[in-house]
Amino acid sequence: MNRRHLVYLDYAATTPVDSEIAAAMADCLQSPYGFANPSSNHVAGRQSAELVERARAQVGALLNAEPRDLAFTSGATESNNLAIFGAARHRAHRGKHLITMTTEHKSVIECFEALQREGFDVTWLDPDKSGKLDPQLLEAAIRDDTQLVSVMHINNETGVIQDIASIAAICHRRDVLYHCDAAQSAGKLPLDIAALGIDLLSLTGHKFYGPQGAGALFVADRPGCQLEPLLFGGSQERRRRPGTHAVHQILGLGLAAELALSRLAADLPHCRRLRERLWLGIRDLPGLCRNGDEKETFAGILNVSTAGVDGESLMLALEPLCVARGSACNAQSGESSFVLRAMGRSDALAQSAIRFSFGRETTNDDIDVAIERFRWAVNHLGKLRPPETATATRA
Amino acid sequence: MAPQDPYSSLLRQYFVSPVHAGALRGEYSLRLLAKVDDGSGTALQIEAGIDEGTLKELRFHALACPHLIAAAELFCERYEGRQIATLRDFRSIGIARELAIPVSKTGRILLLEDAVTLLLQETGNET
Repeated sequence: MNRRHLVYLDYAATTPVDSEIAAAMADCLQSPYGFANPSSNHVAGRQSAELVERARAQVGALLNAEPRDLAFTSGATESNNLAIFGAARHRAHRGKHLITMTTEHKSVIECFEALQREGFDVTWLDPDKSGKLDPQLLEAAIRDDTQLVSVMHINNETGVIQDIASIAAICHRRDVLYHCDAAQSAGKLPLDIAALGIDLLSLTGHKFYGPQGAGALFVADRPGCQLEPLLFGGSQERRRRPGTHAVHQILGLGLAAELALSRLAADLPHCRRLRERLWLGIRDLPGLCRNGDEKETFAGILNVSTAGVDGESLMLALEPLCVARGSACNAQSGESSFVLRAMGRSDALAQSAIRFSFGRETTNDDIDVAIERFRWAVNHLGKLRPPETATATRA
Repeated sequence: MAPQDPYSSLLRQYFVSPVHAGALRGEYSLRLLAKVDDGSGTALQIEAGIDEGTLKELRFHALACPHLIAAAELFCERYEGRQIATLRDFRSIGIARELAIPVSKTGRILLLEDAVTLLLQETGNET
């Protein structure tokens, strides 16, 4: 199917690859040297290595980070695993207390659960009803033996933006490493790692019009911020992430970072307009509530719940819209959103949640189709609902 | 492994166009209502309009997944016009097969069987 015929509103799951980036990646694979192993000490290898280093500089520019402090990975899940396991294990001799939030992405939560099984002590912080972390809660949770705090920037389900500057400042004051999963924010919001003082930051290219399978981990070059590697077998990426570089993927990631930097100022207001248009078009529906405060959430995501509607039925009724229930990484489980439950939503409201997410290629027409379809779906399911469960409750 | 589409084309058809959704429209000598729920938000109501032992009209309401909505619609379509006694033979597994509901999701339509059992109990024809 031609993607122009899709009403694709799932940019938080993945963005379409920019056509120029896709073409450059294909060229790379077919070029006389793009296929070469960048670790090989011959002319083709050196030219291939130049492509890798150019991409590293492009990603560094996006984050205002030193390129040498970036390690290429396969994506944010790997970056999160490397950051969390790597830092926790490296600093285990100093203490085994770790802190994270109950609303993190599964690729963070499951790392901490695994570390708990290894004997680490994890404090799980709940957000307030708006989805935000109260920095005072974090401050109070830090102990003398705390080594690592991991709090994401933009929540992948609700779009809630955490105050990462305050979180980083608290962590630095208490000599604790701060890891930030920026999978949803890198390339979408301005990020200045040097100013923020983040120690570890994960990102992935496919959330900002680059290819799937290419990501990066920023590791601050400062004492105490070292990682135990997860993989062994080579000196690539300063031994943090050995293995032959996927040159065309990394090239695509670098180009996406460069493009994102040039588009930041235009993309954000575009998303904000689209979100407002969508919300205005559906907000009068009975039982509808918005998850996450408008001012505290990323403009590219609108998450709504509808009282008295089954989430799975709503998803099916919304076809052919491409939207999400909760996160894409959790879509097959059929469970209600643990993020929304942590924010105090009832199981029923969490189960009915739908995430719309927009981006560069989304048009007003897409939004109008979404409004029409969503209104039809909610009305359709409302007519099926048993009379005594009919509700106009606003949560 | 790619996620399998859990909805057959027949299931989609019944889900999108459930002509038996709603309340009874006719007048009948006997009206029965069976209400069941699973205690966690899923609810199903089946209403039967009965004359001389015949299920003249069947209607349903559901706050449920697509599988149960489609199953309720198919049940109403299939049993409307039949004798009440034929409900004794009803098994949800037959509808599950017809709608190609994946085995992992057949538990979801057991509420339909509960509702049918309740209807039978109301008429004194319990099995």
